[in-house]
Amino acid sequence: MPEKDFVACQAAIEPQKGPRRLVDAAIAGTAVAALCVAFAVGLAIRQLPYFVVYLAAAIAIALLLRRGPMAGIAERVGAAFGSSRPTAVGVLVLALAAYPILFQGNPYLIQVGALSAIYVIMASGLNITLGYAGLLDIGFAVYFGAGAYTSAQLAVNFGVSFWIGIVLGGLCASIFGFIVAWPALRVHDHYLGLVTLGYGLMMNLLARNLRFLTNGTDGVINIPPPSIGAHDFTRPLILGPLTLPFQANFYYLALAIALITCFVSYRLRESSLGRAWEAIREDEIAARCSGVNARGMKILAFSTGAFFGGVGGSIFAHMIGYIGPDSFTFLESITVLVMVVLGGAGNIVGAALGAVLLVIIPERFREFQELRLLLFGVALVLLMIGRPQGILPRRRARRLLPQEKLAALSLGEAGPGRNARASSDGTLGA
Amino acid sequence: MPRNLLWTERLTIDFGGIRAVDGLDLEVRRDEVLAIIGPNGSGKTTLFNLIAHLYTPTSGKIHFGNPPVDLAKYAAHEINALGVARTFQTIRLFPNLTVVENVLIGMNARLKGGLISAVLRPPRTRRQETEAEEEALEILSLFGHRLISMYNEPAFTLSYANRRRLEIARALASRPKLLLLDEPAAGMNPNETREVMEDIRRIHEGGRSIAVIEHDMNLVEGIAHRVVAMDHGVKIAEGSYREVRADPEVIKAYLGSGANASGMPASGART
Amino acid sequence: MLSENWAQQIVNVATIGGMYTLVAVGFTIFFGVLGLINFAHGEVFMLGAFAALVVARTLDFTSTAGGVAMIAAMFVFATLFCGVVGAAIERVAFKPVRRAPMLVMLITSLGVSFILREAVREFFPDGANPLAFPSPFQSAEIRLRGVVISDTQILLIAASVLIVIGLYYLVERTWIGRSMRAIAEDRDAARMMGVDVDRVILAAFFIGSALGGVAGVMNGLYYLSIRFDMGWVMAIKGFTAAVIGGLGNIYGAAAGGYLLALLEVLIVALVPEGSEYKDVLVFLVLILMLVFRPSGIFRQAPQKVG
Ligand SMILES: Nc1ncnc2c1ncn2[C@@H]1O[C@H](COP(=O)(O)OP(=O)(O)OP(=O)(O)O)[C@@H](O)[C@H]1O
Ligand SMILES: [Mg+2]
Repeated sequence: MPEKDFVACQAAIEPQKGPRRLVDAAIAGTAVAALCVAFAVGLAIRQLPYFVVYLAAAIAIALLLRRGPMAGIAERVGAAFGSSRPTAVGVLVLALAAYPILFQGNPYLIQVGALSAIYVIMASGLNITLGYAGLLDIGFAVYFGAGAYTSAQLAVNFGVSFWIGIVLGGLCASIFGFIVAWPALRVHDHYLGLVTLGYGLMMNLLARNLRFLTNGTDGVINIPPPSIGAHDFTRPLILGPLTLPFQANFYYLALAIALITCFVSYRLRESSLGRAWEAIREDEIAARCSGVNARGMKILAFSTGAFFGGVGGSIFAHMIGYIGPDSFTFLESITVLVMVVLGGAGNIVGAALGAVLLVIIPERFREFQELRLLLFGVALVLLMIGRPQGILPRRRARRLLPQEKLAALSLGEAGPGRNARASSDGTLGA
Repeated sequence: MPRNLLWTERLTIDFGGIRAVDGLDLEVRRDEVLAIIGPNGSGKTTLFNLIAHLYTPTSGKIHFGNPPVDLAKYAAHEINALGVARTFQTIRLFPNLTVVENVLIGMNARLKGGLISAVLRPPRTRRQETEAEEEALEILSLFGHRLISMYNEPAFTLSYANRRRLEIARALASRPKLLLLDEPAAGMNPNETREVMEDIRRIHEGGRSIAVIEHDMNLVEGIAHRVVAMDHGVKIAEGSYREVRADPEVIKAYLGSGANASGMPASGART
Repeated sequence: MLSENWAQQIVNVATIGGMYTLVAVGFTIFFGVLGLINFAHGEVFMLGAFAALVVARTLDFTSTAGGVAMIAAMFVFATLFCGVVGAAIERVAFKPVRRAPMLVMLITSLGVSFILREAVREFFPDGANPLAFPSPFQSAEIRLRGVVISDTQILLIAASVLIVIGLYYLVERTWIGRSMRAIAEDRDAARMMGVDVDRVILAAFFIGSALGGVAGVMNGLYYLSIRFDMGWVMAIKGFTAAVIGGLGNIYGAAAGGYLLALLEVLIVALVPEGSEYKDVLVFLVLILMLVFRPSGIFRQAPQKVG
């Protein structure tokens, strides 16, 4: 691969200024808004045949944008996203906030929205373990269960408030992540997958058998809903002139926590911790020899990911009012795993998208309750063959060269010896 | 100040039946470039793996620094923090990380901050990151435009020679007192090899002690202050390049292993 | 009395262990040639049982001779059916992702597993419920100093032992076995040495899946009841056995199956409330093996770095 002229390289990632920047923001904002509208339309379609047509059209457009004549448009929009991320995120958050207002006549859809947000939290958690650090965890439901049982039992038996319970639930889940991290220090890849799988199955069996902790197969019932001051989450949400169905309470709760989760996992990825995680994923031995504490970082990855799993479980338990061993089975672990891989491991928006799709699409096919898992299987195989990297794979941010330093180094055209070699490298490089 | 930066004491390791390093006493002096030579399978890479504590010695000790510590008591990443950085014979980069990110990983042991500062990103953390990037740029500039022009490209897109350079850059980012290079010129053409030689010289002038494993005798002659020859895990000769090359044990070792072009050149090598 | 009890347990171990072994061998073969944990293998096992059920329902048997013919027909049909299904899965699902990262293959195999299981549940008549599995045996028992061995058990033990011996010949003496071992060692090197990798992998899937099918028929004959979701439990037992023997090690898997069965029987016999916690301990064994003896109980391979 010939080396590019680095000045040209720099120009491409120079921050945009003036009108171009405004145009970019407009494009990005419009694109997000358009996607949200398209998504809302999909939700609003009631008859299944129409929905199938809609889905086919969506996939067709996505394919056209990738390869077909519209690829240019996609590229332009992609560039706009790159330079005006805050605008895009802002529009998205507004749209998400407007969702319960738009669908206030349909509490069921609001509930599905809340469930999606819960799964976004969990997928973001697994994205840290699997996407960043590359640690295969097929027992993620354990953390969901740990969080759910902790805050549920605390609330039911000791009247502990949900707001404390959710934190304790997350922490308890991280302990379960911490526990499995120890064996995980010694095994890799498939073996790690099998260890976590065995761990998940074992914990589920224990939850069925350790009745004094979990009430066995009966589970924990009548889990009280959260409340803020006098406002109980089972009562309608009144926002000025608007009265939203009570599900909106849970929706906004889960949405807020999901957004925080995404922000946290974004910051983590862009930090030296995130870099160290990715280095372990890429080559653990090289990472260790470069000063990365692989043991510590792996434990941290498992515990952090598990924390979010626990938070998700906690919200779930208080929303549904029930938690039992059947709520965190192997299938649950697989679902979260597939969400991350389907969306694009390592990419936050990808994992979130995977979560939303995997909650909403099966809900849309409820008429085919019986065939759901069959179709799920078919979809998995097709996706893995067609797009194994996920819908939105991770794209690395381009860093701006430290300009002052670059000038100070006076690499310019000086140093004839090195420069001459630089120009001949294209032919020398293997 | 003791003369030695690192020294091993009857260092031994067994792999099943094979004794890959056998009672080795070897020293790396402060501020020198030491070349380690020896036929294939003589235990050179294994020695580096022992120093880096990827392998735990069966017996013996590895002392490093002043006051000296026993490296076998430290984990691999701690050894990096103590001031030993290395490259690998089979290049081990982080292929999907960009060039600059690869270098930044080399600084990992030095960068401070846990979960909280990663999430809140206080000014201190931001400053640290900027400084790290500046330092990374400076290290990359050691290789002229070659790596800087690929600053934001994933490492897997680099040419073979540039991968080797990036590995060195990553090791330098750890600000090592001792740099271990495992066959830095392997697979390179004569031009590139000459360039590697210059690079190593420049790195040494920057004030680092270097131990380099190398089969290319021109390179060894060009840079080494001292040469150690190994065979079957044992040190068979030690001294200046001329002394070692003339040593009958060394000649025998190379002949015994079926000397080839990459092995010991005939006397009167090119200058 | 106690010793008779133990002798009885050993007969049970030999029976159940034979089934575990056959399933474990499949896991180990797939892992050897593709580096894949094939989650769909449990479902292939289940298909074996259902295929035999179809045979039993189609044919009719009354006499003893008819019974023997029936058993033979069940085994032959289920073996071929599962072999073909396994080979088809390899071609359709695994071949396209053969070079993809491990996780992609893993999820693909999960997808296949969902498809097979749900297809049986949905499309087999009354497939969502446990189905009675007809046995051609009159349940003749042999009593040996108080130890009861049914004719079914004799058949199952004999069959699994014979198959393991046959497998030995296959692996050691035939081109397929040698090629399989070469591919397990290094796929690219094997290709360069002139091994037709595609064909051998296909054959490996046929063989592994066929063995799973045999185990499925045995399971039906032994428990006399089958269900669409029986594959999952067997899959876990099977790969635990394979892990005990060392994934990729065919003889290890054979031994692992019997060892796992022995372990289960011991737990139930010795631990109070053992049957409730039996599976917990199986998972614990799985985890401990993976962590402390990842290459199985028989050998230990060092890792090379740098
Ligand atoms: N992890 C290991 N397990 C078993 N044997 C090993 C291991 N690492 C090295 N060896 C053996 O130790 C001996 C020395 O190997 P080493 O890689 O150190 O040689 P080397 O001098 O670096 O050779 P080369 O010049 O080919 O790189 C060889 O026989 C090798 O097979
Ligand atoms: Mg070597």
